Amino acid sequence: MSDLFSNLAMGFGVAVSPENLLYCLLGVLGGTFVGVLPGFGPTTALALLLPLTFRMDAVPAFIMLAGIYYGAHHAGSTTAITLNMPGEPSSIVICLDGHPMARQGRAGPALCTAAISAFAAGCISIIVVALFSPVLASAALKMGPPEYCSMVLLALIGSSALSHASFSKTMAMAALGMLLGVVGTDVISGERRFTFGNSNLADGIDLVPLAVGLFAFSEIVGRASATEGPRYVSRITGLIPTRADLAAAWKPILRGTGLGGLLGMLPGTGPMISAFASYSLERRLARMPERFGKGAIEGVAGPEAADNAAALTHFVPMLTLGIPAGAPMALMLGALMIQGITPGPLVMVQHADLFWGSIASMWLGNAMLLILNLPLVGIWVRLLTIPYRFLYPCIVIFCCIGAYSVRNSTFDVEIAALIGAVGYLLHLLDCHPASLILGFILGPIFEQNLRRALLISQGNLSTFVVHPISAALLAVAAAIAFLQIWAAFRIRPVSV
Amino acid sequence: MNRDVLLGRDVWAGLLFIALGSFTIAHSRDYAMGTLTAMGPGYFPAILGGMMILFGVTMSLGAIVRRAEVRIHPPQVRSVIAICASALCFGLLLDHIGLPATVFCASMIACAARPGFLRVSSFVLSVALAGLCVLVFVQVLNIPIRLLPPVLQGY
Repeated sequence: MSDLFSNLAMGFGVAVSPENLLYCLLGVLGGTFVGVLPGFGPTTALALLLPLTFRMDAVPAFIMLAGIYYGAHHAGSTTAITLNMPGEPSSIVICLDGHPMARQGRAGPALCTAAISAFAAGCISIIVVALFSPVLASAALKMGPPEYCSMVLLALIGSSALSHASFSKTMAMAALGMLLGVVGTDVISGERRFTFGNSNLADGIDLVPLAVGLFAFSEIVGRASATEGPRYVSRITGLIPTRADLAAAWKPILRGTGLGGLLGMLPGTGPMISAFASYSLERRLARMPERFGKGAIEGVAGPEAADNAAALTHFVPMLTLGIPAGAPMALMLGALMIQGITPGPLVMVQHADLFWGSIASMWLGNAMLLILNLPLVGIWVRLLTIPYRFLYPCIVIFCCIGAYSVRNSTFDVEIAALIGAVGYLLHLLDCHPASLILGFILGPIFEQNLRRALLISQGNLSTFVVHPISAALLAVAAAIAFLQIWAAFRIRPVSV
Repeated sequence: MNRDVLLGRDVWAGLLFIALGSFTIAHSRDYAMGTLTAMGPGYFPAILGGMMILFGVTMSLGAIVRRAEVRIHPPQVRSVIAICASALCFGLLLDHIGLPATVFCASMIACAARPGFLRVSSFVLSVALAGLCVLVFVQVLNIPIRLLPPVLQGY
C-alpha cells in the first residue's frame, strides 16, 4: 500500500512538471477540439493528432496522447447533450436524457453534472488502475506464448460483443486487419510478404495512414456532400446543478464508476457497454423509471461516470499486457511502439516514470476538463456552427500532412487515399473499422506468439488447453462467441 | 428466392470477404508454408485467408437464411472520388511542387466533393489553408517538408 502512494507521488512529480502540464493541457484542448467535430470520436482524434507527438520524448508524448483521448471522449458527451449528436458510440446513451434536459433549458446543469460525474469517476478509477496494474503485470510475467495467443483471441472476440455488426462481420474484419499487419518483412524468415514488389511496403503499412484512411477519410466522404440543415443549438444558461440534482446524481455516479471500472478492464468490452449497462441499471433502480428519456439527471450521471471510468481502466490491459482492449487503445499502443517502448509487463519497471506519470496525468487531465470545459463549452458549441463545407477540406489536408510526417513518405499519403476508398466501401457494407484496427495491431503479436508456442510444443495444438491460464481465456472467448452466435439465431428480423 | 435478399448488403459483404480470402490463400502459396511446428512465412496468411472465406460464407448464408433485405445505401461517388483524389494528389505532388501549392491543389479538389465548388469561398479557403499549413507545420512544428518546387530551390 505504501508502495502505491510512493509510486503515485512519483507519478505526480513527473506529471506536474511545467512541460508535462502544458502537454497535458494541449492534449486535452486538442482532443476536445477534434472530438466536438461531427463524426469524430477518440479514435479519429488520436489518429489525426498522433503525428504531432512523434518528435517529443516518450513521457510528454504519452501524457499528451492520453489527454487527447479523454478530451475527445468528454467532447462526445458535450455534443450529445447540447446538439443530440453523439461523437462516439458510448455517448449515444448520454443523448437519451442529456438532450431532453437541454431542451428543457437545463443544458448547463446537464453539462456540469456530466463533468462532475466524469471527474468523480476519474478520481476513483485512477486508484483502481494504480492498484490493479501491478497485480496484472506480475501475472503477465508468468504468461508465455500460448497465453498471449489466447489473450489476443479473447480481445478480438470480445470486441465483437461491443460492435453493432454481426459476429462474422467483426471477425472477418479482424482477419483482414491481421492480414494488413502481415504486410512487410517477416520477422522470423526475413522474407517480404504481400509487398507486391513495392519497396515502400517493406516496413509494412503504417498505423497512421491506415487509421486516417479508415476513420477520417471514410467519415468525411459520408458527410461532405450531405446537405446541412439548420442546427438546434441550445442556449446555455446557468451551469450549477441544483441541490436536488446533486442529491439524485451521487449514487448513480458511484454505481456507474464501479460498473465501468470493472467492465473497462476486460479485453474487448469498454466504454460503450459500460455506459449502456449503467443506464439500464439506473432505470431499473429508479423509483419512477418513466422519467428516463425525458431528462432524468440519473440518466446522465450514471452512464457518464461509467463511460469515463471504463475509458480510464481501459488503459490497464494495454499498459500491463500490451493487449489493447479497443481501437483507441490500439492506437495508443502503436504510439508507444513508435516511441521505441515495447508494451508489456515490463513497462512498469523499465519505464516507471512513463507509467506512473501518465496515470497521474490522467487525474490532472480530468481536473483540467472539469475546470476548462465548462467555461469553454460555448466556444466548442460555436465551433459546430461553422459550415461543414469549410471544415472538411481542412481536415483532409491535416490528415494528409499527418500521414506524411510519420515517415516523411508521400507513399504513405497515397496509401491513406487508397485505404480511404476501401474504408468507404466497407462502410457501405456495414463493416466497422474498429475491429480491423484491433486486428492490425494484434496480428503481429498473435502470429509471433502462435509460431513460438507451436515451436515449443512441437506442433502440438493441445498446448493452448493444457496451460491453465490459456485454457481459461479460451473458455471465456468461446463463451462470448457462443452467446453471439446464439443471439444472432434467436433475434429474427421483422419481415417487411 | 427473393431477388432483394440475394442482392442485399450482407450477401455482398460476404462475397467480398470470400474473394479477399481466396486471393490471400492464392498469394500465400508464393511463400514457404512450413509445417505446424515450424511455420513458414506463408502459413499464417493462409490461415487468415481461410478465416475470411469461412466468415464470408457464414455472412452471406446467414443473410440469405435470415432473409435480410437490407439494401446498400447509394454510394456518394462524387465525394469518394473527390476526397480520395485530394489525398492522392497531395501524395503525388508534394515532392514536385512544394507544400503551399500542394495544399492549394488538394484543397480545391476536396472542395469538389460538393456541387457548386467553383466559388470564391473555395478559392479563399484553399489559399488560407496553404498559408496556415506553412505557418503551423513548418514554422511552429518544424516538420521537414518541401516548401518550394525543386527547380526554384536550385537543386
